[in-house]
Order: sequence, then structure tokens, then C-alpha cells
Amino acid sequence: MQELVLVQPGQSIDGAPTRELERSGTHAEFEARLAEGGPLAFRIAQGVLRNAADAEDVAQEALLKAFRSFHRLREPQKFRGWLVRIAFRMALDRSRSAKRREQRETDWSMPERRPVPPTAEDLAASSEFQARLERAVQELPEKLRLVLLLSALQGYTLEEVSSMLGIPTGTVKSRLFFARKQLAEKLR
Amino acid sequence: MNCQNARDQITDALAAESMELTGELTGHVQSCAGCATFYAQQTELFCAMDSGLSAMANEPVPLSLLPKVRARMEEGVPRRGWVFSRFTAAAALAAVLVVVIFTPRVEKKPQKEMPVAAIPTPSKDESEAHQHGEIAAAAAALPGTPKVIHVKASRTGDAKGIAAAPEVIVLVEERQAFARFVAELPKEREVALALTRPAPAPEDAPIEIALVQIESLELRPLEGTPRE
Repeated sequence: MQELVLVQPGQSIDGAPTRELERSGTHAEFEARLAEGGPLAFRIAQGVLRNAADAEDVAQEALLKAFRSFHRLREPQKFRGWLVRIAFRMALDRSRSAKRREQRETDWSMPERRPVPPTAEDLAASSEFQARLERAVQELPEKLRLVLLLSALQGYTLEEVSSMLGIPTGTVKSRLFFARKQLAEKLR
Repeated sequence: MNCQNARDQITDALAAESMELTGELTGHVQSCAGCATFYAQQTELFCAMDSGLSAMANEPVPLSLLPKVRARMEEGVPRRGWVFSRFTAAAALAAVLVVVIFTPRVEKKPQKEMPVAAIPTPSKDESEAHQHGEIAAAAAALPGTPKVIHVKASRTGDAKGIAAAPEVIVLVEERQAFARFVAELPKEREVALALTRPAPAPEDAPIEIALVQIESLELRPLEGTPRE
């Protein structure tokens, strides 16, 4: 004889709420990806914003946004690319914010807030070059910039970048080529 | 191979991260001092660029990032849900439109047509409600009474009994008399009609005042007053 169990809506057979189970499962799954996703989101944001505090803010928001929508992600292997796009888009939005830009310019124009120049000439030269490089990267088109930043990340091959962005490896290579060429022209 | 072509090829090769130049290009660089210098400069530039990009892209991650994210995950992230917000806004707009379109428009009667000021009277006990009922019944019994009396349900009274009754202000001690008066109204049809008709609007025509003409005036001393 079969035993029938009356299951209330929102409850599993053993009585635990299904939503809670799903939520805790999602939470654990997301937590497992956080160790890799956190630094990735921060570095992408930092590559765009060039400001650690802003980048941390954006990375945090991007991760929480990803967490909120994590249960809707059908293909978990695409999580990194998804997170990268969220972080990049949010960082671009933040960067475009007129107020922030204005504040940054104001800060930069104030002599006491400028970074202290290093004593050694080579360090000074390197710092100057780094500033030029950062400006040149900011001027690159978005698609090229993202590929350039991801390719420069330690531990990611071009194949991984292509799978992150969901584009062929050949496209990644060509974008990287044009990005480097444009960058060299700007720095020449 | 000319120098400009060679320099373009050098740049392309370095941008493509290919370490080795083609045979023809290698030959030109070895034979042309200017292109050799250009190659050396470009190699140095790309090296610096790569190290700069690597430094940019691999900055140390703040230690506070993950604990902050975890804390916010634990406390339950408030859903900002732009999709939901838009849906809510659209639904609210649709509801407002439906209400605006399908609500019948109530035409307000001009104030001149309101013969009786309808102010609801609070009734606190059953006897008052009963009196209201009497008034209502008497008023309803009026034959051919034009329905121009403004009717309003009492805020506190029995809605069923009073809903159709005209409301007037009546002193407490005059209520019974008023009820009898209303009951008598059907017998005095003209009075009833006169009471329920709107009062004629006051005319603002100028009033003519004729001069008083006194033809003859006789002055007499008052009785009992001493003569001067």
C-alpha cells in the first residue's frame, strides 16, 4: 500500500521549506565562486576606474548583483564572463558619472593631493609612463579595452578570455592586436 | 622593402606578440640603422606597455572586499529589481488609466438648484434613527414631489433607513413637530411644492428711490411744553 504525504505549498516532503533549501544551495554555490570572482571583478573595475576605493565599491555591487541573479544563471560555467561583463559595465557607468570625474579632476588639480614623486629618476619616469599608459587605455574603445585588461590578468589564457566573453579566440586575438597597436601609437 | 613598410611590419609584429621577425624584415633591420633603432625603441615600448598593463590589471585586491560582500549576502541584499520597478510603474499607470476612463463623470448641480442645505446630522441612538426613518417615510410619501432635494447619507446613522431621506438641520426639541409637519405635507401639495422649489435668485436690478415731496408742513408745539 502506498503512503501518501500531504505536502504544503513551499515545503519539501521532509518539511523544510523548498525556497530555503534552494536559497541555501544557491548561496553555497555562489560562495564557492566568490574567491575567484571577487578579485576578478575588482581588477576589471580597477582597470577601468584607476581608483581602488571606487573599484572596490563597484566590485562589491557587481558581486551582489550577480548574487541576486545567480539563480537565473542557466549555465554556471559562464559565471566568470557574466560577472566580468557586469563589473565592466558598472565600472564604465561609474567612470562616466560626471560628478566623479569632476571630483577626480579637482583632486588632481590640488597639489597636496598629487602622489608624492619618487626620489629616484627611474621611478619618476616609470610613474610618468604609467600615467600615460592609463590615460591611453581609457581612450581605447570599450571592446578593445576589456580584452586588453582580461588578457593582462595573471592566470588567464586567451582561450579562457574567449570563453569568458563568449567570443571566438580569433576575435580575442584580433581585438588584442588592435588594442596593443593603438596603445603603442598613443604612447609613441 | 622601404623603411616605412618595414616599420609598419615591425609594429604589427610586436602588437601581435610575435617575437620573431620575418626573414626579409630581419634583413632590412640588420642593414638599416634607422629601422634597427626603431625596432629597439618599439621593443622597449611594448615591453614597458606589457609590464604596465600587467601592473594595472593585477593590483592587490583589498582584503575587505570579500568580507563585505559576504556580510551583505548574509544580511539579505535588498532587491532593487529595476524590472520589477518598471513593471510596478506600468501596472500603476494602467490602473490609473482604467479608473480615469471607466469612472462615470458626476455632473455637479449648480448651487442655485439646491433648495436645502444638506448637512448630515449625527444620530446617536435608535430613537433618533427612528425619527430619521419617520422623516424619510413622510418625505417619500409626497405625491409628485419633484426630486430636487439633495440627499446625502448620514455619516453615523443607519444607512439603510436614512439613505433615501432628505437631510435638514432640525433642533432636537423640534424633531417631532417637524416629523408631523412632513407627514402633513402630502395634504398641502402647494406648500410642499413651494418648499421644495429652488428659491428665486436675487435680482441685482438697481432700486429707484423717489424723492419724498411734502406739500404743506404745519409746526405745532408739543402738549405740555412751556411756551417761550
